[in-house]
Amino acid sequence: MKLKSAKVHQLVLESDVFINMPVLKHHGGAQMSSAMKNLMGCVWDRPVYHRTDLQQTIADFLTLRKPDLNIVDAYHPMVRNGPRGKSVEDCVEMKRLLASTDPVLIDTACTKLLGYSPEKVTHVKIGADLRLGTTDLSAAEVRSIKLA
Amino acid sequence: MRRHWLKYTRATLAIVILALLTAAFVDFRGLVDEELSHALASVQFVPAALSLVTGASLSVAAVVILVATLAFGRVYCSVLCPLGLFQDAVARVASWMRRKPQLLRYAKPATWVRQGFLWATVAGIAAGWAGLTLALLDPYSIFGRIGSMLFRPVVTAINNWLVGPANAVGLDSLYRVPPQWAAAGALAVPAAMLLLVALLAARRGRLYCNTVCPVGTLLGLASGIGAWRLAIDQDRCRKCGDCLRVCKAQCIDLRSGTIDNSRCVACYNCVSACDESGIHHRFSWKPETGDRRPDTGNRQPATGNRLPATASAPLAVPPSPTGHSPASIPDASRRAFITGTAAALTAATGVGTLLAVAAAATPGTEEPLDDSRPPETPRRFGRAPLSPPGSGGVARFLDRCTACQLCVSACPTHVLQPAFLEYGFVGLMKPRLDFDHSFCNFECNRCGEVCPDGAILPLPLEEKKLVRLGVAHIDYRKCIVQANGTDCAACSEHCPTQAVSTVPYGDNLRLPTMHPELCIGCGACEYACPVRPVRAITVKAHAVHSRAEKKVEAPATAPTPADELPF
Repeated sequence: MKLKSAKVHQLVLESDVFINMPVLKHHGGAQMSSAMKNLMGCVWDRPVYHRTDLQQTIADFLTLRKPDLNIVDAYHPMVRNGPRGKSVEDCVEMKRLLASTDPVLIDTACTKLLGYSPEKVTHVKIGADLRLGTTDLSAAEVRSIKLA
Repeated sequence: MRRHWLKYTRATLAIVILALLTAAFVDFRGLVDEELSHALASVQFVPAALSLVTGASLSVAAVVILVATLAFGRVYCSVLCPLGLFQDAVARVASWMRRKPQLLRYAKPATWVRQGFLWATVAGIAAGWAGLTLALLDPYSIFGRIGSMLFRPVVTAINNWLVGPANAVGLDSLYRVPPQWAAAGALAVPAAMLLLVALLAARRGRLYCNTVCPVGTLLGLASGIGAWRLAIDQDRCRKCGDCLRVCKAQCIDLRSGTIDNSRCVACYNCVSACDESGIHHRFSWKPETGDRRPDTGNRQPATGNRLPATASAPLAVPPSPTGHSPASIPDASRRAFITGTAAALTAATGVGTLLAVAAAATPGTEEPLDDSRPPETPRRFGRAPLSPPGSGGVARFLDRCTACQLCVSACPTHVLQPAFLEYGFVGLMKPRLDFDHSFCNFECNRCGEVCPDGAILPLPLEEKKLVRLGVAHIDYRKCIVQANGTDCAACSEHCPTQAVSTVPYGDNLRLPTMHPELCIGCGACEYACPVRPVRAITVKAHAVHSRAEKKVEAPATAPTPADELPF
């Protein structure tokens, strides 16, 4: 644990239910930005993450509060030059939407979608080590729904 | 008091123009349309003249103003010049606070002071310091600095104070904005000018316009020999002094019955004040000599300004058939001399100024952006400043910029900040890019859109995105990835051209790496870098701007097939 204290948005601390809806993208620093990394947006002083070990602090936040549901928008993910991208050509239509109560699991699935091996994205492995979820996709129950 | 349409037209126009220009400078939320700001600023005399003379644009505004002044007097000073309008506002407030109107009397012209400032300005321009001289003495720029550097942060603070109460009653359109305060050293200048101008205006009307302001003096040379000049109709004048009392320029001499048109700021207060309609425009190419009438024995005793003519016998001097009193017809040969000198002076000053500015513009700074030139190394020791995109480079910029702060007010990210000594003394208060607290937005070209004199040229957005102001440089001893062995890459996150991107490094880390040919020096990387006190990635300024390369990539392809789940 390297994230000792942070200013967190009031709603994250007070709400009864917390739903996380990230957009999937490649990330130059963290390799990927998906469910776990999205929660960085709840923190005021984000440079602290960069200063203090980005991958570790991304995972650390979830020990404060894990979202009750994660819904990843992978409809038109950014697959290179992320997170800002140089142009819309960095995004590819993949038309996927993923949902899970397990942020580590859903991020593992996203790494595979982007064509990476899960070990490549360090914060996912740290999340599993902190027992915030599992990276074992093969043991997970995956239901796939195809719309038209 | 009669109400005269000249005065009320002038006053209405003045209020509108002052309100709009003030709004442009105190705009802390980017609400004022940049085309409006540009329109009002680019018709100001000094920016228009600079723009024309340096070839930045075919601006006719300065010429129009000069011609209008030759025709009708110093209308610029009462209708367009924001510093003049501001003085009028201050005088009005001062009268209200005093609970009595500002009552001035005739004052002799401060000829040596006025000419001194004007010739000092011309000399400064000729010596190659146009950028500094005009910046310090251009009335539009002086007002701009007062508005942007002093009024804007105060207005922002007031806004912030109102946010709480406003939001509480449901007015959610208000939100807090950090007030932009310039460095104390830079603030001292507009603070001093505000004090000087406000004090003079509160006590002596438009004294500043007729002593210090070189634009006032230059236009005064033209108005002094102008075509339609305000004059006192001797047949109607009762010498009541009503006109005297409202004259902001203290230029009405009732004793000789003359108005010094070189100082008159065309406010038309006198025209409006005269119950006898005794002041009106008279077509005349003759300069006013300002002669005092010789003693005809009928001069009234001097009891203050009020010379009661109605109470006593009518004036003994009979009106002449031409409408002039005999003693005030100037001597023909003297008149010719004065006209000739005044005309020559105006022409010389005007032409001389234009030539000097044109000559002083640094040669070779109008070159188009050169694709083939390699990125230059900075020539200055220490943190050389970056000038805005569209300025072409530091030298070109310093020659043209009058530090009016319009771009500083217009900049949506507030990356443009008035310099203190970063450019050297000649660059005092001219904007530079400050990456400590901000960066230059890739999708923005607002500074060039508002700049009134082409110091920052209005580049189309796609061209601006390729203008290189400088190049970022990574100090790997400070970079967190190398120094701490943990991931970061905040710099690369924000880079709009991916001039800094990451490569595999060490144990599954990503190290930021520069591609300098792609870098435009926007400062997003430097702004984002979390390392303190000195950032690990900093932008080195280039003295002359160049053109960056653009890396065109083929559209990305899906990393895994669309019809098959990879797990």
